[in-house]
Amino acid sequence: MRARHGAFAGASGPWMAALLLVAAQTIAVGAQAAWERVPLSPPPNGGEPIGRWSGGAYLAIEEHSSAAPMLLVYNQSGELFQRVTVEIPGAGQILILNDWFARRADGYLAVVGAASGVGFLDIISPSAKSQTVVRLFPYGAEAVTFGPDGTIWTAGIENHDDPGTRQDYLILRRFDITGKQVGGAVPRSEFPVRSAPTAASVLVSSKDRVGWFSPFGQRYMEFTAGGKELAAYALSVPLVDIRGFALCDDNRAWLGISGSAEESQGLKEPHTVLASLDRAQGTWTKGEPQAYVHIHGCSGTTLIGGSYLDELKLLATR
Amino acid sequence: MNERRNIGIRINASACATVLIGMSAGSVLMWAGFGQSMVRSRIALSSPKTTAAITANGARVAGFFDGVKPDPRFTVRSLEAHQHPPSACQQRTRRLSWIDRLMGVRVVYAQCMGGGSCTGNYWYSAQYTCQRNLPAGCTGATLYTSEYGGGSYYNGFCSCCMYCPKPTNCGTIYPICNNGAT
Repeated sequence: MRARHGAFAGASGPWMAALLLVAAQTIAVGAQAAWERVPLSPPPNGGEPIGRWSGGAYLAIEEHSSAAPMLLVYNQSGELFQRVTVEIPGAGQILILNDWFARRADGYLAVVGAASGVGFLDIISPSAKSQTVVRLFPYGAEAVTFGPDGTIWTAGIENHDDPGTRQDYLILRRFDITGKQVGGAVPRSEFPVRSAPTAASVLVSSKDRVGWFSPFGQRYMEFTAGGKELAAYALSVPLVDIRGFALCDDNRAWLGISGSAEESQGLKEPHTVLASLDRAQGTWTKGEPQAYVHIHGCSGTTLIGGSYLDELKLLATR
Repeated sequence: MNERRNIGIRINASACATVLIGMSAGSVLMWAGFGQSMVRSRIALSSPKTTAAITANGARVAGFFDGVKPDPRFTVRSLEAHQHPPSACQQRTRRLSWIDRLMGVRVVYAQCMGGGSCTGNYWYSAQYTCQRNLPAGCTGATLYTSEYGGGSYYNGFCSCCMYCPKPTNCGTIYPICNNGAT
């Protein structure tokens, strides 16, 4: 008979089982927040808005407020494989901010922004040799995504949206790949006149739906590919505390939230809490605080985020 | 004597080693930077050669700006005259710089900086948090309520990550478009 040695020598069966259980739980908790780091090569320039994951690629923007902003497209390994300038003839300045650009799986790019003050939707072919620029005036879009059917969704408001104006219109609009508007959703009148429901809002999509997260509208809404509203969930998070939003292909919606007022004031190290949507309850379930990460999107069921501009972080959610 | 010389040799050797290590580290960094720029330049920069401009109805227009009339509410003169609110970073008011005027704002068309971004009668300057030492913390604009007319419009871009030497609460979203209404 061989003698038992080591830390577990003499341990009885139940104790061993308990220890193994604790160890397994520890590993599970650790695995839950185990982000895989993927460096971006070469990294985008600092000082630019955060990029986003869309259509199987990470998109970053450079010179976001210039005559010719540049989109950088990276694969999941962090390698740069496409650089595209956004140019609109006659425009002195083009403004493109966070979540104002998206990619379709076949390589089409959609960019919204303002060209010398005029709202546009730019649809760039996969080869980036041709583009269709849609003049959206008096509408201006502040979020864009490709729906599951390949159409382009935008969120924006119209120029005549001054306080006191009662003219109604649709906030969300759908365009086909040629740039023609084919539909829309969510009347402006659903929100107070003096509000900015599209400011800093995010459009996301999964295999079968499109989601719109509106921080100022304090709601998250989902739609079928054809534009029919599926659900709306209340969501109230101060904008400074939002660390990105994602909708995965299993239709789990994820929100990154910062922690506390102390953190916002710079008195505490920044961190992130991941909250997932409990559809049955219509509530958001918060996870444990973890190191700072901004959610860029979702690839299948893998959350894509980043803590710095020179890296991606991948987290399997199941 | 021999001992002194040995020390001298040792010092010289360690100094040389330090210099060599430094040089090689520098070379590594230089080559790394060179490699990154090589990778970047190897990826061809695409710029669409053909551009079709259309309206949202699908009607083709000759140029993106064709038929768009400048809004009299927004003039280059009013933009130039306006003092931007002080930035928490720079602690001074800011006017459109000559380069802004030269490169950025030439003609102000019918709306400013996108539909929801600034519709003209109101402008707003809001601070937001720039994450400490995190370049990715530049999250754009934030507004809660407007002090100017009740509209909560946001616009512009954040200066935080580009200009701020201190990481906390340093960002100011300064409006590009306004008509001076405060």
